[in-house]
Amino acid sequence: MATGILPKEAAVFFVPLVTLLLGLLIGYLAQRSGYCSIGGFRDYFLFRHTRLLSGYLTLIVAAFVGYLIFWFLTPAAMEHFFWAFTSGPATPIPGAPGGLNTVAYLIFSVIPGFLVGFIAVLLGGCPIRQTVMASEGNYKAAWFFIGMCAGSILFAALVSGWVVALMKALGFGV
Amino acid sequence: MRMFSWQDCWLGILYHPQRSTIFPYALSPFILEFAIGNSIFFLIGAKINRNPYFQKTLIKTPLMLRDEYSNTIRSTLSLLSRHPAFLGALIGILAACSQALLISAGGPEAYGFCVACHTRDMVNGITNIVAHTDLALAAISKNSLLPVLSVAGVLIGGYIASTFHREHKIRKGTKKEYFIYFIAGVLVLNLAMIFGGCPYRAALRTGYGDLTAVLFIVAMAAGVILGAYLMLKKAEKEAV
Repeated sequence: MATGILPKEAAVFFVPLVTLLLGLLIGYLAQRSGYCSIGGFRDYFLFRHTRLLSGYLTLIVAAFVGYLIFWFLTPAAMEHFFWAFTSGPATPIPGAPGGLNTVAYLIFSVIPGFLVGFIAVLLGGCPIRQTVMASEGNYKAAWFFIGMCAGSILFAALVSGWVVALMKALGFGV
Repeated sequence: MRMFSWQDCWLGILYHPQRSTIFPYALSPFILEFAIGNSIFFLIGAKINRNPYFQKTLIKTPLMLRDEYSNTIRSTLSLLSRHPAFLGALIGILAACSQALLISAGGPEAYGFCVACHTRDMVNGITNIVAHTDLALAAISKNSLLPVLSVAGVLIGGYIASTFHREHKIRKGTKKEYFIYFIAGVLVLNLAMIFGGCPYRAALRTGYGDLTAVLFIVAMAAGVILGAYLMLKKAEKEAV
């Protein structure tokens, strides 16, 4: 069990507050800069513009640097940094539905990745761009966000069970 | 064990009436001038290159941000805030910072910021509280008082920024477009949750050392290239 700077009793109260402030800052700056990950790849492919792509690539590098810094400062909070060395090269960080083997998670990263990129570029933005466009007054993006809210309940109630059952029927169970 | 004394704190010895000589008192106006002047320059954004006192400490702006107004701190900040790379660096560092602060509450690692996962946590967590259901959540949202609220923050922050800069404008579409966007939202969230994160959490996971997230990013780039290629073909066909 990882322990951060705050003890558990305090962290439980600070989770909504800290994430709300983080989201406020990110939302403000995302509106100012037009930040978009899908748009970065799209602009580079169509026009060879690197402005948006630099944002996404900087995010990857800065995440590594940030986790490295806090791994030195608070090693108890970064229990499994660097994940590929501590937990095996092909195991994913938890977040996807559980109870499947490694090949299933590799499939889970390739097929959804391709489809998310394909759908989002046709809509004109990744999830954060759609959220920010909804807050700017774009009704289509607002309906995208409502769809995400409906899809989260749908995923928890039905889809995660279906996906696990399907992958187990295909022979990818543990 | 040595006790704390006024010598340990040099600001204390400067303003301590019994201990200090005339020398620190003679210095104090300059120190105050430095502190107050610096903060006034920072707040008002006066042209600091006119002032020889600050010429040595002038911020060296990168070439891509340099223009005729880039000689004040405020305009430099304004230019920085409009560059996506600045936001990317900020998200990366702050996500690591929030994990270091809050990981005791539980939850997966590399979970600092994610639009899909945090929407899922916010909606399902509030549904669980209101309707007494038992929908699946990340542990950090299940244990804490309220689920993570960063997507609500993104909505409010985007609204504040767009109204403050007069870019808030209602743009309506047709009912068919609304339906397509709704279905696309459902699809994108489910696909992202099957992977376990949106593009942003994929970047955070890549930084944390997860190699499956690299696969996700490569596959996403391939999907974007296919979609952009189809859009290009359609545009060419319409132009002809």
